[in-house]
Amino acid sequence: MQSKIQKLKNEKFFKISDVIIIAVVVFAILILLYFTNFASVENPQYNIYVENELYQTGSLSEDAEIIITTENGTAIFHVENGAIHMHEATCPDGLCIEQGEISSTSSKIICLPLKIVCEITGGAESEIDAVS
Amino acid sequence: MLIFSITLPLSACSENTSKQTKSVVYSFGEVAITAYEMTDEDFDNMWSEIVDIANLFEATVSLSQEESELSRANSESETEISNQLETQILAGIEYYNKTYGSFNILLAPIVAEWGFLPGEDNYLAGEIPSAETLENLRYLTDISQISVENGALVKPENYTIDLGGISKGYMADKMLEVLNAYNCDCILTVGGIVVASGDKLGESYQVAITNPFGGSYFDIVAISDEVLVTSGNYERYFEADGEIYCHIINPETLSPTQSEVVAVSVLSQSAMDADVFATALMILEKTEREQLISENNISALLIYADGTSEYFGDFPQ
Repeated sequence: MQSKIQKLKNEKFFKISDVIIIAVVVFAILILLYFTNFASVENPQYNIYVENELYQTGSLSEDAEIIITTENGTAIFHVENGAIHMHEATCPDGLCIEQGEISSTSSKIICLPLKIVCEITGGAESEIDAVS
Repeated sequence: MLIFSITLPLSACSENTSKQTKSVVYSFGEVAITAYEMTDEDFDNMWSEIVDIANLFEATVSLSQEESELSRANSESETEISNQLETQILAGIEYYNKTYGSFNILLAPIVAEWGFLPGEDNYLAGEIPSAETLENLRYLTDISQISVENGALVKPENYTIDLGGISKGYMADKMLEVLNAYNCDCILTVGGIVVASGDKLGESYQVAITNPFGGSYFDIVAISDEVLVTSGNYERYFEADGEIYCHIINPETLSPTQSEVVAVSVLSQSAMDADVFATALMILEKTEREQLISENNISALLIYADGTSEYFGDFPQ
């Protein structure tokens, strides 16, 4: 073991100073990653808007049932297994229920009749910019 | 290699700080924008101009607003109308001719019989109107009965003009003019119409096309400086006796389109063109469909009931 380290030290392309530079660079990268929201990627949030006003926000990692009563009707979101979906809604078309569960940033559930929008923020960026 | 790995997180950093989003919900759908590398001031000014256009839309052509200009004009036989409304009604008449009659702005009474009027959604009851009922309403779809003369709309009093198929595109085109004026790199969605202005930090925007058969996306299209509109029979429909009855009415049969085309995506420089042509391509039969595509150089993706698909024009494969 000793002799192997000795051998490495003797090889010109890998000196102790190189090790220090690499360590500094790795440290710098970690710091940068920390400041580029990398730390929050693991904690996506849902934001629910009613009539364009923020109604409730929370973490997708905590299971929850959110009951919203508006003058147009009632909607119930379920947060389960890191995703959110419209479980029940009294809107006439039920399109919001058909939209299924969402979990990646920028994806949305929209219920037009009740004017309710649920969006995800702070999670992994979706590679898709829009859906047609 | 070392330099490369350092620049990666740096660029990720500038990407995050330069991205801005806004959205608001209207009766016709959501207006949402994601802009890249804009100053806060420009972005806020641009957004307020976009919201103004959407508000004007509600006040001018929305049929769910009883006080809108069009709602009031519909109840009269002759009314002075604004330039905005005149432009859209004339466009509607022009598109009727361009699409061999498959796009018609006088279908509201038929749409109502089938229960597909926006906001009412009676189609969920799954009732099929009788052929007799529909035929008795056919005269109300005669486009030759409406005209605009000296800034006034002239039509029989009981005719109802519905600009739903025109106005969203018209509005999206007006919004695109705003985006261009700000020289903005952004992606805007206007109730299902996707408007890409410029590009996303030097790359195309990735737009997913809904799979009409459910499940994951059908395709992902890379677009920049273009408008994408998708029309499909899966959006609002009901099923009866194994048949699907969707919200897109064929003016000839006065019934939901029974075409083998189940979804159409159109790429264009004009949202109004894209929206109208997507509807017409859902209705027309093969010969006229392909004639429409070649006469108007349409770039489109057509998805058929058997699961196959076909690309036309410059639609990226």
